[in-house]
This record gives sequence, C-alpha cells and structure tokens, in this order.
Amino acid sequence: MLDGVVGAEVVVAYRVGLRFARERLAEPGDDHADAIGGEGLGRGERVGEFLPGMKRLTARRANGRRMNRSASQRLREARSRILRGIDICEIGQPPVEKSKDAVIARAGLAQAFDLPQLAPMPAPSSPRTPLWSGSPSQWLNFGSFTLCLLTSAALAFVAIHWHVPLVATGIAIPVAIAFWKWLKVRSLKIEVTSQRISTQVGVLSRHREDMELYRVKDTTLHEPFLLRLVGRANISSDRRTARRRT
Amino acid sequence: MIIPAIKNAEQLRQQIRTCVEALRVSRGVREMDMDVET
Repeated sequence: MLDGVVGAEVVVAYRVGLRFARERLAEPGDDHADAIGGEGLGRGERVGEFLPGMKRLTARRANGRRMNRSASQRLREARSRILRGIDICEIGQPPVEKSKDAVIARAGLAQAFDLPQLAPMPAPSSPRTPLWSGSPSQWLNFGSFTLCLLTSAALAFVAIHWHVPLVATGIAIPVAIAFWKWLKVRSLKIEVTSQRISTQVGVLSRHREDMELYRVKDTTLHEPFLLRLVGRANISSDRRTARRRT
Repeated sequence: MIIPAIKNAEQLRQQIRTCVEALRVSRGVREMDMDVET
C-alpha cells in the first residue's frame, strides 16, 4: 500500500498531466489527441509522455492509487477513532457529546471483538480508604550503618593507639553519613489507599508521586535475605504501559 | 513503584490486588492487544 504522501503526489501529478494533455488536445495537428479522448481517459490508456514523471502512469493505475490513498486515509481515521475509544474504555468516563465518535468506536469494538456491553458501575462509596501508611524500615541502611560503625571504630582505634587526637575528629564524617542515610529513609512517606499509592521522598526538596491502582498490572513480592531474617519484604508494582507486539 | 522493607508485605500485596481488581471492574477497564503495522 502506498504511503499517503506518495499517493497525494501521484494524484496531483495525475491531475497536472491530465490538464496538460487536454491543452495539447486543443492544439491542431497533435499526435496525442487520439490517445487522450474527449472528457476523460479510457481504461489502460496512457496520459504519460507529457511530463517526465508521468511516463508510465495510466488512468487505471492513477485511479487505483487514488483509491489506495483514500483507503489508507480512512484506515488512519478508523485507527484514531479506535484508539480514542480504548482511551474512553480505560478511563471509564461516561459518554459525552464531544466524544460521540469515540463512543461509536467503542461500541463497534465491543461488537467486533464480541465483548459484553458493560455499563460503567458507580464509584466506590469510600473512595480513599487507607490501607497502609508509614515509612520503610531502617534495616535498609544496615549495610551503610555497619560500614560507618566500622570506620568510626577504626578511627577511634588509631587515635587512641597512636595518640593522635586529631584523627578522632574524623569520626564525625561517618556519623554524618549515617545520619543522612537515616534521614533519607525516615523522610520517605508511603501511603497506600484503595485508590492510589502515594510516595513522598526528599529531605530538603520534596518529590511526591501518585500511582493510580487501576493502572497496576503486576505486583511482585521480593524478600531479600537480610529483610527476610527480620520479617520484612519489598513490594513492587508495574504500571500498564503500551506495548508494541513484533 | 517499590514499597521497600515493610512488615506484613504479603497481606498488603493481596489487599492491593483486591483493590486493583475492584477498581478495574468499577471503571470498566479492558485490555486489548492490537497489531500495529510498522
């Protein structure tokens, strides 16, 4: 199938060639007059040899390309309507006057794919029932805390053993790092409701992100060894995204 | 999105799944696979 742009160029070239042929027809003693005809072109007749790009373009081929162009255009419009219909299906909005085409496309899709015509159900009575809220455990910082503790112990040992009190001031660095790690986890607020999952991160600057639960595709439970020892686990959820099948 | 290091994670996960299914039914969300010509 021809691309839409190429098809448009063919139709324009066809019209220009036809106009040029008719002008040549009006000229006396023209050899191409018999091949052109009066009002239009016969099937299979050539209008070419008048323009460099139109040498092999026949009326049948030009009509076919023009039909292909209109078919591809109709296909694009139908695809656009279908996509709008799916969007309406996903967000579950009631039909409105502006999206009449989308509603028709959705009805057509449901009929074509033999889907039941479900009327949108009313929203839940308690839209935001809290399920869980809180912060993650500080066991996430177990490795960092251990490393900072070992570093502080080593610095203290050096300061005491070799009598270098200045080294002891370096203990402030791992302590500050550990405090910052603790603060980062402490400032992570997670709220799970019956509608969405909200996360708020950041110590100085804040970043809040909401994920609607109806977009959740898969949930995964991951229990690393350390967290499993203390009876905790991670939950990860994937959003629904558009996938292109190859 | 990850909810890290929480207690009773399996229970919360089941609650999330239940809410997801209820929301999808209430909103009329359907999933379709469509072929896309490249």
